[in-house]
Amino acid sequence: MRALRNIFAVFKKEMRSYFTSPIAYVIVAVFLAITAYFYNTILKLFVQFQFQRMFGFGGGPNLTDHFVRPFYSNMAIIFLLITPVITMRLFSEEKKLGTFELLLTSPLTTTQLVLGKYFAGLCTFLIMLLLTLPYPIFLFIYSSPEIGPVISTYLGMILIGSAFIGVGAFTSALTENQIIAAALSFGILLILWVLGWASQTASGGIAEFLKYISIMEHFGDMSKGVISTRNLIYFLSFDMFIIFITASVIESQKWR
Amino acid sequence: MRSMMRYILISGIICLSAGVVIYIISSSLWAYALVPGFVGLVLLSYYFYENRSKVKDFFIQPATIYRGNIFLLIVVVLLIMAFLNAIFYRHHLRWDLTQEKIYSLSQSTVQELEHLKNLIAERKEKGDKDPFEIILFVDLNSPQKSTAEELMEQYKYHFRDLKYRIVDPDRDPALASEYKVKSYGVVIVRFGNKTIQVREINENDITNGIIKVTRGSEVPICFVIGHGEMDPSSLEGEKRSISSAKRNLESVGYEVKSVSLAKFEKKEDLQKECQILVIAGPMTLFLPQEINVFKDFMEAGGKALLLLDPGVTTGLEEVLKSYGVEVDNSYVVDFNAISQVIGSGPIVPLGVQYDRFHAISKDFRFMTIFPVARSLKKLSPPSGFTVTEIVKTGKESWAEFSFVEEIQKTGKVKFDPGKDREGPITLAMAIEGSKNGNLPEGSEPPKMRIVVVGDSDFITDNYFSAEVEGKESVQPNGDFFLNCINWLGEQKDLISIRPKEKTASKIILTATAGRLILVLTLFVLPLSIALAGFVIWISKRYM
Repeated sequence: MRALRNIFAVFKKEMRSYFTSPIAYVIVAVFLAITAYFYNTILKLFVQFQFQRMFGFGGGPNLTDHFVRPFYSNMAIIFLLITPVITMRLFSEEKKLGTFELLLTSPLTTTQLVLGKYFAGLCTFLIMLLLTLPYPIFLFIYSSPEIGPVISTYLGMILIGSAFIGVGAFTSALTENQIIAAALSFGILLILWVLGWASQTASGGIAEFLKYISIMEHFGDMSKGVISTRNLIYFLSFDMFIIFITASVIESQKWR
Repeated sequence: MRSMMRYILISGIICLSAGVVIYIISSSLWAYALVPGFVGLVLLSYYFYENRSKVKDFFIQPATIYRGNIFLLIVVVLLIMAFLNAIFYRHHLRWDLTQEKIYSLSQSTVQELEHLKNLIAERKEKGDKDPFEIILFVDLNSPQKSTAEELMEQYKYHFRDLKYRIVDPDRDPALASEYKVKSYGVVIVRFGNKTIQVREINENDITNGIIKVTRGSEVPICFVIGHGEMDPSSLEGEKRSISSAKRNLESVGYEVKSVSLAKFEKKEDLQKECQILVIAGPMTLFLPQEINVFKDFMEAGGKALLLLDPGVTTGLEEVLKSYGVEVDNSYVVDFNAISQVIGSGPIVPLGVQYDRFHAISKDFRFMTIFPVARSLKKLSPPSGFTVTEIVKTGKESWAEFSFVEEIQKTGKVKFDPGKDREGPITLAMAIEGSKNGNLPEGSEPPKMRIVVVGDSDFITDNYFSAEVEGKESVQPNGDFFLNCINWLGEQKDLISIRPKEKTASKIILTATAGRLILVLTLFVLPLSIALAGFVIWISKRYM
């Protein structure tokens, strides 16, 4: 189909420009270094903790609760900080370089354009996620963690990545200044992440609503080892909505 | 003129916004909000009137119409998304991937919920609009709140229309006192107008609460009277009142009665009236026929709690001896340091050691108080019987067998080796067993259960619970009493759900392995990526 080929063309071009510039590599290297630091710290703490617990009563601490969950929560936050940097150039650069108008007048529809760029950002995210696989692999070599929560956590990661990239694409479409795009994206993601905290002390309808909007809440369930259609629907509709308004923004810019 | 118009527009917007903001901050300040709001409206109306042609042109502009349409479309899409999410919020599926399925309910609970759904439907047909509810009283600022919410969400997953409320007793004291809730972590399960109190927030207790409250009749507990025992109909404030004990028993689903054993000729009549007997502090001898009917009742699988004070002979002692427990003619003297701190004297022994395996005491952690108690001695039980010592005093105590004489003569008590028995002293024992009699082939002999305690005052209102700072009430004595009753009650339709334990795993890591992981993850992997980037950069520069 013409549409898919177009999307793929945009996707290919974007991926090429990502990975022929050293920026992407630096970002990924930094990300891996930071997560490695967290990983090894939590590992050390867990081994110590396990040692203490052994003198108390047999069994020991639960890997999922005391290793998997804290580590991946940290990783999620690092992603929150880093994806704006990945997505900031999606549309802003085109605008800066002046190639944006060319794109708008090409036979590409806005939707195809947005989807192509979105998937490129998502694919970069997935590559970063793939590179974190050594962490659970080491865990499985040296211990026996519950496999269920690990799978659901990675699924959760993929989903929050899709949301983060979506927000980044949206803010990038709003401005030609990459810094503003990154800052806006970062701000929105942080607010969405933190809404969950506000609902802790409140109660009643508003608290329920805030909790539902918060990305952290939905990720939390998945990192526990529970997959619920509530979370899947949330992320699906979030992604669809954000892609929709990104396309709308770009459409409206056609008319300038 | 132009700039003036601009100022008017801007100040109009500012005034109106100020008015709105003031109103949002405090709706009681609406008078103050009205002034700038009104002024703003006037200014804006003037602006729009003077510039009406310009305004018209703006709205007719294709760009504006287009943008307006898109905005509307976005709102519609948002509403559709919200609607979809709301639907799937209620009708959702979930999969628990943890090894021990700790975030799912057990099969027994799911079955019980199915049963509950039918019962509720029946009641609704009869016109009861609000037949079932669970109210959880927690401290909203504590992790108990999320525990309660998560648990209720699991129940709701299997029973979508389950009604529940999470309430803070501090914020809603009226509701708390309506259900007589005095501490955090209490759950009220209501079915129709019957309520039951569940003292802990976990699946086992709450499901059992549901079973008990929907059950047709309650388990009858009979307090024996006629020998000066404590009477459940006593009022709070009376001497030896056990109104707290009665209230606690009724709140967890027991029916409390008083019976006189002399009125029963055959054990069958007694069995019809009572499932559990409580003999709480008798002060005189029992009639021989009372003792016989008691024995028959017990050996037919009866359950009894005997609270026997020192200095009294009832005639039950021989019966207990035949089951393996000797009730000493002693007073327990306890010089535990704690009793000096809390101000009770040496004749108020404290229960500090508990049998770690028996159902009554196995997780019991509190210190119990037994004002003026006698000691119990474990004899070798007859075949088919087990006797467990469940509560003991500490080492600074002993069983004093010449208490009255020593007090009268010297005013003090002294340990006499040979006559007295040194501590720890057993204050409570549990007996379980069956007398093998003539039974048809293959049938199980009925099992009797008895708990004997060397004191009765520990369940009086003064000792049943302790008010701590008004809100929290701990009741070690009360909990011990309830544990005994629950063990005696042994209700067959109740379930026992093993609390789910999170899988424990060990990480077996040598120091070398640890270093290997560190180097690989912190150095090798990031550096190789950075190297790839460097290569790309170089190749671009020199291509």
